[in-house]
Amino acid sequence: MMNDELQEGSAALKRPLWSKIREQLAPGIMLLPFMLNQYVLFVITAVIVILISFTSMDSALQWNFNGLDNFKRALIDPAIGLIIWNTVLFVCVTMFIKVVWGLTIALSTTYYIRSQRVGRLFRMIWLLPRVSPGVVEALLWIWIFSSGSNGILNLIMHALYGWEPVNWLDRYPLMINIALSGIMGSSMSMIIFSSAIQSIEKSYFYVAKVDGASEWVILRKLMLPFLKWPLTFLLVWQGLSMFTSYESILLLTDGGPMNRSETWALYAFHTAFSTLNFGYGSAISLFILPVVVLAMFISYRVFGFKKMMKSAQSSPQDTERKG
Amino acid sequence: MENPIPLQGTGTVGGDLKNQHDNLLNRRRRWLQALPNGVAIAVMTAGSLPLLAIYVWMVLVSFSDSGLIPTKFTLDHWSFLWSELNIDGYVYPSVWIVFLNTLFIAVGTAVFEVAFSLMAGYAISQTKFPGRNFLLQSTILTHAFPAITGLIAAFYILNTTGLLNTLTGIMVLKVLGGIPMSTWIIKGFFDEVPKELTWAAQTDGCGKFKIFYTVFLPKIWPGVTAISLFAFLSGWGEYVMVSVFIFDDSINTLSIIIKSLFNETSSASYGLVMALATFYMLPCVILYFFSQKALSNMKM
Amino acid sequence: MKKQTMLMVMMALTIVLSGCAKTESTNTPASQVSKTENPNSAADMDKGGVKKNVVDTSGNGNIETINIKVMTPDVSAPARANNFIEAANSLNEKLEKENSKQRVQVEAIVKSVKDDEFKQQFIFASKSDNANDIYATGYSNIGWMANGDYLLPLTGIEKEPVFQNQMPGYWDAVSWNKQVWGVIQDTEARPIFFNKNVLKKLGWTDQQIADLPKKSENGEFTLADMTDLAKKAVDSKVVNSGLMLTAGGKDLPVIFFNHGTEVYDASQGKYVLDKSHLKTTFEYLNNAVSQGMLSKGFVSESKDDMLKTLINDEGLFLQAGVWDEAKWRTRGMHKVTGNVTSEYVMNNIGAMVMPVANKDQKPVTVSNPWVYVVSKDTKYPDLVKRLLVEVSAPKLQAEHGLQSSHIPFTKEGQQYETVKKDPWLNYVSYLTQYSKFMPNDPNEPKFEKIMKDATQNVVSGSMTTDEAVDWMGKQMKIDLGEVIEK
Repeated sequence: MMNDELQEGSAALKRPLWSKIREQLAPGIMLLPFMLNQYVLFVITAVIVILISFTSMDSALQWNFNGLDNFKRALIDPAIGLIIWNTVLFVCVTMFIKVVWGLTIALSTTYYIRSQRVGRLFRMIWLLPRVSPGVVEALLWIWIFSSGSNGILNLIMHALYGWEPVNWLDRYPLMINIALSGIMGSSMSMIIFSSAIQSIEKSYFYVAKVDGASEWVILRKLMLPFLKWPLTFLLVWQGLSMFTSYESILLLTDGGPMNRSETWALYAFHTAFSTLNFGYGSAISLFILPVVVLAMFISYRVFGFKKMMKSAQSSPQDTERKG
Repeated sequence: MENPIPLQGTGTVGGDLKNQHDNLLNRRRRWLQALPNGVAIAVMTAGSLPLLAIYVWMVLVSFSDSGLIPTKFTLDHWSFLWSELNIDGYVYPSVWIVFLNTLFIAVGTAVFEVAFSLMAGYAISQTKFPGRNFLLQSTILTHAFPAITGLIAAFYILNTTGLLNTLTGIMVLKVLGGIPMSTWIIKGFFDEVPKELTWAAQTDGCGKFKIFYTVFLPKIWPGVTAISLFAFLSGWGEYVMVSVFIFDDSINTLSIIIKSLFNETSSASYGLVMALATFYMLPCVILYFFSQKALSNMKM
Repeated sequence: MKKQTMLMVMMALTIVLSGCAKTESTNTPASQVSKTENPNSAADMDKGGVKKNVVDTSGNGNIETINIKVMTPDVSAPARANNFIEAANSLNEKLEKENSKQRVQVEAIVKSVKDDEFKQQFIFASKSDNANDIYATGYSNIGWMANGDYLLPLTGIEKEPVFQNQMPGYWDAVSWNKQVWGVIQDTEARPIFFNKNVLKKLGWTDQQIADLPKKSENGEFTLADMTDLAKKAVDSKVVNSGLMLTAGGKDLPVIFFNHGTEVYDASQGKYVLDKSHLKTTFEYLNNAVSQGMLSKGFVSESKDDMLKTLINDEGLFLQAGVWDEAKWRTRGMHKVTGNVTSEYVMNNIGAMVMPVANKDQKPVTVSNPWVYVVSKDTKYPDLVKRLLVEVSAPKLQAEHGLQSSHIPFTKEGQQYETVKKDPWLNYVSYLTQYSKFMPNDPNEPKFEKIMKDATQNVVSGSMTTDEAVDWMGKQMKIDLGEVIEK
């Protein structure tokens, strides 16, 4: 790494000035849309939202500044307790399911199942949720869990055990949401884990086998270390998106009944776009920011994020080679 | 793997016993080795079948002429492909216009998002400039900035630029939201390209674009495919933004139409709804089959 | 190379599609309705669509066609938009007589949109100059719409002859801040429906059944009597559902008003937290749920399911709206015959005011009249106002009333021949004299939600009645500002 920089640096010194400028100009132009997005539009968006959060903007969409009222209000809002609890449950349990189930699929299909073709077939099936649009998914689930005797689950349960129709989405709103986003969302973790396992050099497995390592040891000592970075990535990146996502719940149960499946981001959405309280909604959504910054700080500390930033893609063996 | 060939007549009685014992051990070991394979297949089958069944059920109902349990085959529900789309009396002249609207958002998102992230990813990975690390880290912040927060501001931005109530507006929002993640992914692929290759090409006198085509593109192709697919999917499946920012009754996307079928009173024909849902999913599935190989090469 | 070709294809597609984006507004499905056709055919119930009237420009070259868009988000009463087709025709005839160069072409949009989405779309469309000219909506939205400067004030329109015999008190429903912001479109009431066959099974005679509405009206049959009867029906396994209450924003308040709960002080423009009455109402609901005659999840159950239960003799009492009779006629709810006739409904189902909680009290029902409001941005305020006058004609009121079982809001409308002949409307129209309104304060939607949430918390057992009252107090202070406590 150091070497590269030195060489480039000295090469640049020898060249005339205009070519140096030209050299910097090209990447500058290439970065332009990205920078525009990151530093102009993003900043504008942030400023607008922060400004709105200090107003009592409602259905009239007027800028009436009211100081810290919205933030104070969030602290005494009686709904907040349940919503925080829901959010924590939703993020943690969903992430847990995503990681465990994604890892199970990845390990099974890339390592334990001998036939590559069978493994690939299962991976193909598990990519289906990733490619089906959110509304289609929600539609299917709503019909499955539908409360009447027309719901598929009710039909099955009635045929098998003679159960009376159950209003599933009303009775277990959060649980169903968690289970579905966990299971349907494990596509992404499966992709990431599978490619990480596939990139482990085959010779390692061979050596381990010759040494007589048991399957358990191979899993723990050989494969899991290679999955550390993908896991970090998943936890940080996906975890944060879980925290800010709301579309799947919005489509399935819409946060109800009685806020029992309402999460923080969804509450912000509902406050802003359903009760039309844009000021308060912005304020609520801004409460997410400290959590995000905290999460970044922790991942910096715990996982050595800076090292990973250097090469987002490098697997442990690459880092070793480079180091 | 040593295949235990039964030794006959050569050994003593004691040797025979030993062989039998070995046989038993071998068999057990083989069984033990086959166990993970069997268990994995069993677990995967048990887990995947219900999922697969749901999608198969969706397709079957769309071809069936009665309720939620598929029975007799019919093409009736698919007639919207060649005649009008009639949902509870609301007649859309042609589903293809709705299809094109949706496609416009999806393809537009994919093209611009990929183009911008390719440029940015290349620049970040292949050139040195001050603040490069910060730039990369800031992608996480923008990614984590709650989408809902942006949604409120987006109204003002779209309204000022006159893009409210247009498909282009939705596309722009999708592109902007997707750039950080795509750049992040594609930058990783650029990092993988060995410096030696670039130098070799340079000394051969290749121009920048030629280097890009001959050296980079083959290496980063899986990444490009993956982010194109993701960008397409996110544009194709978008519901919230369309429902919030498009209020003209004449501009529809497939997501809006399918969502309008959620409420109970309009479950007039399960077959039609399922046919529409299948139709909506079809392009995704086709694209996904083409990009499968690239997806399995994707690393983060 | 394959990859390059694919890239090229994608680029090309984008360019082609950008072209499409410009023509994107061409996919409006609109059917043209000629002068002689009736735009409100029976088959239109529960269906969305866009209709336009035919403007005759033949014979005169320089006639200017004025486009006016009308939208209703409620597909169960399409006449709210479709009536404008006939109104436009009669207005055009008048314009012709006046030798005016203008002719009105109405685009009547009937589209099923959920309440939240309707508000959102209304606001964003208004703020970005995309609003339709006329909207049909519930009167209680007038507060926030007027407050947000979205509406054209219509003050003065009340002097038009067509409105002279409007039901008393209904101008209040469309007035806010000393201005008139809309014209009433219809009215209705929320009675208690009862199933006559179930009553017979409980041993009631035909005469007793026929007398029930009168007894309920004069207080001889009380809420407690009704609750006991519902309990008896459930306990003796005649039906599963003794009492069904719907929990729509304007339905739920009926039971609160019936217990004497005050919610709003109009003179001060503030909401009221009537602790003692709220508590008795919650206790009543809690009791009804714990004794099994009211379903625990009634707040989130669908009204259509309840209507099905009642028409199939599986329930005894149902609180719903008079217009729900149209749903039995059109939505195929009967298990054997599907749609039923008005006559069948009259023979098997009865309607009465909700029996009073205290004998000395007058019965109440809540009305949620729909209104027409006009966007501030309309380019033709005068023509739009004239159109509103035309659409309020008794004939069109009657058409809407008959199609969707709503009650006309003027005397002429109520005495229109077809309305007088309609047995159902005849049977229920007296109910409107007990009508009360929820306030049309800008915060009304928020209050509705608080009341609903509190009720749901009580009946589901997650709050005691006292806790629910406290919670309401807290939430009201947060959402509605200053509250009068009683």
